[in-house]
Amino acid sequence: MNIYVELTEAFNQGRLRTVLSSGQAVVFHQLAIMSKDGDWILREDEETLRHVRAVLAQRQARYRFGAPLDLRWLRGGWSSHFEFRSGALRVRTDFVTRPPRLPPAALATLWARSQEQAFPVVGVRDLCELKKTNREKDYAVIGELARLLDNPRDQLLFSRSARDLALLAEQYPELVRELSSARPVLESVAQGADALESALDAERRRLIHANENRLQNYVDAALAWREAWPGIEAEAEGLSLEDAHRMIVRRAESILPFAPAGEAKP
Amino acid sequence: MTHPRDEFLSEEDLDLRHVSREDLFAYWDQWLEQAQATNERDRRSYSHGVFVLMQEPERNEDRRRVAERPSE
Repeated sequence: MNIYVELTEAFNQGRLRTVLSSGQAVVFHQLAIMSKDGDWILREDEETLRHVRAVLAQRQARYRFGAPLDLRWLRGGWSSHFEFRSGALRVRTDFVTRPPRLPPAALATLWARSQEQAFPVVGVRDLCELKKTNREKDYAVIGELARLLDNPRDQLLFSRSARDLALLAEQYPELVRELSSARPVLESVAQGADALESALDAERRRLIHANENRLQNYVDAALAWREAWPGIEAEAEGLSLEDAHRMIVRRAESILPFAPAGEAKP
Repeated sequence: MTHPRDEFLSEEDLDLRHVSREDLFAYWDQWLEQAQATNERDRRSYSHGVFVLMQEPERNEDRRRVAERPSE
C-alpha cells in the first residue's frame, strides 16, 4: 500500500482525525505527482494529537525543526514536522490544524464531508485555496484543479486561464458581475484577453507576496527557537518520541510564542 | 475548428486522470522511490507548513558529516 494512504488509514483508525492535504491530495485527485512529503490537516483535539504521535512513534519517527505537536501552537497556525524511514523511503509528515486561507466555516465543511468519504482527502475547492502559496508551480496546479470544479461559480473564482474565464463569462455574465468584488480579476474580462492575462499575472504575484508575508511572520517569530534547535535536537537523541515531545514542549514554552504577532491568537 | 487551450501541466501529469487507482498507486510508489535521489539536496528544506521559507538548522557535527560525504 502507498505510504501516505497507509499513514492516513493509521491516523484515522477508529475515528476520523486527519485529512490528507496538499501535494498528496493532488495525487489522489489524479492530477500530478509533485511532492514526496505528506501533509495532513488534523482535528484540533488532544486525542487526535496523542494518536498521531503514537502512530509516528511506532515508526520510530523523530521531530524535525518545527512547532511541537501541541494544541497551543497549532491553534496559532504553526506546523509540526516529523521524519522516519520506511524501507527505501525517507518519509516526512507535516501537520497543521489551521491551514492557511481556509476559514472556520470551510474547515467545518471539510470535516463534515470527510466523515462521509471512504478516504479523507481535501476537496478540489479547498485545495485551490491551499495552493495559493508562494510557489509559481502551485498556480499551474490551481489552473488544472479549477477545471475539475463542478460549478461555474467556483470555476470563476479559481480559474487561472484567461480563455476559460472568457468562455465562462459569455455563459454566465451575471455571475461575473456578482463575483467581481470577491475576485477583482473578473472586472478585466470585458477588457479583452491581454487585459485579463495581465490581471491574472498581477493576481498571482499579489497572492505569492501575501503568502510570503504570512510565512515571514512565522520565520521572525521562530528565530530564537531556530537558534536553540540544534541543542534541543541533540537532547532528543535516544529518547522515545513521547519523551522527546515532552522535552520539546517544555523548551518551546519559554522560547516559541504560541502565535506570531499579527497571526490568529489561540 | 479547435481553439487553443491554456495548458498548465504536462501531458504525463494529465495522463494520470485516465489510469486506474491500482496503476495510480503503483506509479505514485515508483515516483516516490525515484525521488529519494534528491534526499541529500533537500534534507533541510520543507515542502509544507510555515517553515518553507527557511532551512532546517543543523548541528555542527551534521554539517561536517555532510561535507565529508561523497557527492550524489
